[in-house]
Amino acid sequence: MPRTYVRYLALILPFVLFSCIDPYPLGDITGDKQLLVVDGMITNQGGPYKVSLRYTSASLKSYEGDKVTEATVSITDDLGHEVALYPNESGEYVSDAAAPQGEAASTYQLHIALPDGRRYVSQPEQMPAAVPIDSIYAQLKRRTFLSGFDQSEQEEWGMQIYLNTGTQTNRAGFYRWNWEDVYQIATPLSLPFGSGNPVCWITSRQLHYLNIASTLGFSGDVVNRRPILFVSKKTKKLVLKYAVLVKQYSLTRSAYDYWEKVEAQQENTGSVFAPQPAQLLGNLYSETDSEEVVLGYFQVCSVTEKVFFIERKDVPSEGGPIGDGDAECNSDDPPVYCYDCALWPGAKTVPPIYWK
Amino acid sequence: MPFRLKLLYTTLLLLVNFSLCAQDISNLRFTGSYQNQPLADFIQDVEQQHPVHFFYREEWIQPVRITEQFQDVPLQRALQQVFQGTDISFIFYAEHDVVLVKSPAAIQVAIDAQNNLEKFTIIGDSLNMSGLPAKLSGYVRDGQTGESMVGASLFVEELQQGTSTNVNGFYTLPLPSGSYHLRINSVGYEPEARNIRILSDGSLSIDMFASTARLEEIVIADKAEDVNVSGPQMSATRLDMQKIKKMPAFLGETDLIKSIEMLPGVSVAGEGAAGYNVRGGDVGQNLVLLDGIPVFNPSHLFGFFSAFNSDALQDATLYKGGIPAQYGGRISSVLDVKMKEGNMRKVQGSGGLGLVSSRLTLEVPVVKDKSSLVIGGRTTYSDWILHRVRDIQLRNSKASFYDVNARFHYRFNEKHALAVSGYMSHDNFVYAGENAYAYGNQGVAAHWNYLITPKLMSSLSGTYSRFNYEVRSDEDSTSASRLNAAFAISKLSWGLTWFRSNRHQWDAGIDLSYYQFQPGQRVPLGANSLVIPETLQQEQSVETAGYINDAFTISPKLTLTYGLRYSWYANVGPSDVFLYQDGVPQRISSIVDTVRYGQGEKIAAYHGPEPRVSVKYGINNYSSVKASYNRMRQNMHLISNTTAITPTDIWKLSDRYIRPQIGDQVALGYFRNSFGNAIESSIEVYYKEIQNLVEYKNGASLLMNKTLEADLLNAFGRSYGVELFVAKNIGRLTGWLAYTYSRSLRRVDSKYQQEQINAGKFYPAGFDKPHDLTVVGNYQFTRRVRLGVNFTYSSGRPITLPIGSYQVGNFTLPSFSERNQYRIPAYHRLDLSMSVDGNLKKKKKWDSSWTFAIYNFYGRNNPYSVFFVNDSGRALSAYKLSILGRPFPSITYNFKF
Repeated sequence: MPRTYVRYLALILPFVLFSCIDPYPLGDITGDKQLLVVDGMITNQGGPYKVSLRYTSASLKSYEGDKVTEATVSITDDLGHEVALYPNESGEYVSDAAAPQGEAASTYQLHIALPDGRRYVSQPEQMPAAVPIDSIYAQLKRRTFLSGFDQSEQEEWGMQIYLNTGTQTNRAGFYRWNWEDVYQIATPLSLPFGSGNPVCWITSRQLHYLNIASTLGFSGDVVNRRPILFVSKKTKKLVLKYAVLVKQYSLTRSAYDYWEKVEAQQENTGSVFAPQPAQLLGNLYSETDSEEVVLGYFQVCSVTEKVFFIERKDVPSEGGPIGDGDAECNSDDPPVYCYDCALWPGAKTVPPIYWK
Repeated sequence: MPFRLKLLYTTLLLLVNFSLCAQDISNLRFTGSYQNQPLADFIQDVEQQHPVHFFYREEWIQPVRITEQFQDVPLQRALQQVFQGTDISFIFYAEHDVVLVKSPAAIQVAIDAQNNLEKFTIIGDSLNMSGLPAKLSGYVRDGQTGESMVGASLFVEELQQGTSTNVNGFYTLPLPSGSYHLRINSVGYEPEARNIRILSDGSLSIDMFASTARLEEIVIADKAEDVNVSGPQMSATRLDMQKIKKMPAFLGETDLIKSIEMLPGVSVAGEGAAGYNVRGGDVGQNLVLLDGIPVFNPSHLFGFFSAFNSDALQDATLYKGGIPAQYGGRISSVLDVKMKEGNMRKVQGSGGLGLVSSRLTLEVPVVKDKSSLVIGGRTTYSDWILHRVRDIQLRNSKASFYDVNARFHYRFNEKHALAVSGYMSHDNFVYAGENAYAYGNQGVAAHWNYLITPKLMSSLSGTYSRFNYEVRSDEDSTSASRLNAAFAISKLSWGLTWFRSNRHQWDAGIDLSYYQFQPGQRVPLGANSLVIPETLQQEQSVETAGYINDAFTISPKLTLTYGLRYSWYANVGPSDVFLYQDGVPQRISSIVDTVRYGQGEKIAAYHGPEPRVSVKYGINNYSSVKASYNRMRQNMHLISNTTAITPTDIWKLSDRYIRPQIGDQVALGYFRNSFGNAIESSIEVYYKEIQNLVEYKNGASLLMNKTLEADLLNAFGRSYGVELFVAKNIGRLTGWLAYTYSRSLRRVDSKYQQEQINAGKFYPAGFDKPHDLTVVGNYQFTRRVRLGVNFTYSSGRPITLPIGSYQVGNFTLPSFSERNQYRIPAYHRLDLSMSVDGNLKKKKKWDSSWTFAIYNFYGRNNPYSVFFVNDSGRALSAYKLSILGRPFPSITYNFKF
């Protein structure tokens, strides 16, 4: 919560007076020491649980450092249960699909042992209770942005999707949201012999955007009008029917703090008002060498999901027409996908299971 | 009797300069009888009977013979009888002198005849001649406005000794009786000279006149100020506002703080960053005083402009070392800024219109020659800048600021003067119409100076200063709230200056301070807000400091200034203080108990001595060696986890967990003037250690933090450097060149690995820039046109770079090096300005000038910082951010009336 006060401040200064941003050649700065990175999660949704173990990459060009092989990995709870994880071909450690669901109020820890005797463990964290999403809704909204070409101010209209949630109790909640969406497209042109798929589905997902919030410092655990994503009227998404699946993670406070720091690092635009950069430490530590730095996080969280649909008739007419008008398909030489939507990049002929 | 002759003339010509003393010569009575005797006999008898001296020219009285009988008659009547019928008249002067005057025509002839003879002002009374050095004292004032002039230098040629006026424009100069040539200089004023003959203690007040462009004959004066060499103070620079106004400024905004940054030993974190670093100290370790009011944040618009209105200021002195004992409370530097005293003779105004702001200052004499009022204001219209910015959120933002200065001065008489100053600055920034930042300083000071005797001066002052900020998030949501913080200091000081003899000047005083800090208060905004109101505990402390200091002239060559300041500090209740478990790092989970302290109950107390010593040895008339040592203590700490300070950084008082910062500095310097003081040069080396610096843990959140102490670390600082400075103060070309090599290091060591930074090794502070070169030049082409040039070069500041990357979730994150192990490229920039003054008529009602300036003339794209972005691909890309990376022209119109 206090961070929201300063985060905008960090954004202000660099731009206040005609700043400019250029690529900066880093030269040959590489670390000689590779650090262990752990990225894993246990949830209330059951197995298989995945934990990725790698070393840091010595380059900024590629994040893929060396894989850690031959480690012994397991998750334990406070009742003495233990789930073992085994390496798969892509270098991750995976539990049985039948591994038991994580239970709210139970405490979990990740254990890692390397063949050379080094051992690592995560701080025990208690799984928060799952919090259902109350509602998802959308409103027509105009937003402005600067054109990438001439820096002129542009506007666009679209559906802003919001979410309401919270336990409505006086215990603070810590949340993170992810979405995945899908929309239906139709084949606009038909071939004389007519064999194209009439409708297809295209999915996309949230990538490098972190959406987190907490209700710490609020009188109640209530989250209202949390923006999830903006769907522009200019895209094809709203032409026929659109669906978004929102996943809501209830985080531990410590995981929330970690993500908040990740967010700060993602938002860092070089302002001198940004906190000085520093290694981000998670909840893992070495049991054999207290000086060793371990990166990453083993999350213990509960997940709930909700789907929300927008049909063309739900979209108000204000703010221009829906879709891009299929201009390329109305040209003299239409591309092949105008005759079969399955040829659209990424298009599928069957909808995902949450599509109704 | 040539001696007497000289006296006569000077007396006649300079009578106006004397302050007549009370005792009346006309009360004396005389007895005697003369029969056609020479007048000389009569004069001799009078001088025998009474402590009276006659001044005359021998040839006048030779022809006069008298025949008179006096029996206990008033001397005055006797004289009347004697001179009746002659062409001689007489004047009583001072307590014991009778001046004989021939008829006016005769006088003129005599003057013409004696024109080659030098004219002397007689100071004091020959009867009080004691064989001990006499004391000459008085005020130096601006002849046009009546304002006291601070730092004007007085120099006695015969003795090669001098002094300068103090903050009240008052000086004291001990002199063996005799005749001297006294020169008085002050930057921007016509040099004055007086020939004096000092007999005993006396006063001489001097008016000086500003050298405007019209009056300024461009000649190299034979002698300039030589405070650089002869003054006992080292590591200090006095900047006159007139000098600062000649420097090219960003967007034409004359900026005191930016000028300070051009001095050796002063560095800054980045372009447009608020605050400055002096000799390896943090920004929060600089004391900025405006007429004694401590100013918390001397910047507008997050640091781009300084919060002082240049028209309302007189001058500023920066002390980097050898800090006098009357200053305390911050360990790195003191910037003592003085507001103008104001014109006491006529209404005067000055102001300007610039691209960013406009200002107006009025000086009003309330009672002629006694009292004046100065009111200055400045406001901005900088929104247009935001509307040109390539960021949609900023285009919808609004920025505004203003500042107001006021000073009322009342000089009751030569002994009593009262000054009341007020200051207010305010900034407002609304980001994207949603988040609003507002911050401001408010302060008031009252000073009463009382010259008890010419040797003893008392200064009593009371000051109050407050800084507050507010952050509002106004969007209509469950999280809409407002956060406030406020920091206030009240202070009462009393000081005495005793000009004991020509060898000792004693200063002593006492300061009482009360600190009241409200570090944070949060309230919900709007009907939908679910934010719980929360108030952090207020902190309060009391501090008492006493000091004594002696400036001891051991010999004309050797001066020793030694003093001691002692401060007692107590952090007091009401407050609840957390107790942490021993043997583990402090964190929320290690709190074991809470202790409640009642109103005024002592929570933690600290006290300690702050010795100050400096020594000057004059090698010859043009060079000297100076050395100093000082220790300073600081009980209020600026906590910041960003590279540059922000207005929402918080101030924290020393308490149970945070100990006073202690700074020790030794400095050694060689000072040399050449070409009749036209060129001043110096080289200084310093070494400084700072204990109990406040650092923060990586990732610490500082706002609304109830357990702030658990996020702070105790650091040790070490800095050293060498500063070279060459200045040319007179002539067509003026300016300075400064080069500094310095290092500023920090160490955070702890027995807990989590509480170490860089494994407990020394690392460079964020503003550590080893090489720093500045050139400031001003060339007067004609009387109306001058060119100003600034050039600055410095090593790039240290940064922390990623030495690898990794992925968590979908995010690629940099794996960082240890803190501040790399540097951004070097910084350099050239600024130019040209000023054209209005017409050269000497008497005109409206005086104006235009200033054209180009900031960053050759458009150097100076890197400001380097950051890393997780581009749409998954690799991290490095970018550098540059601001003001192209030339910025500006035009400013200044006026005076």
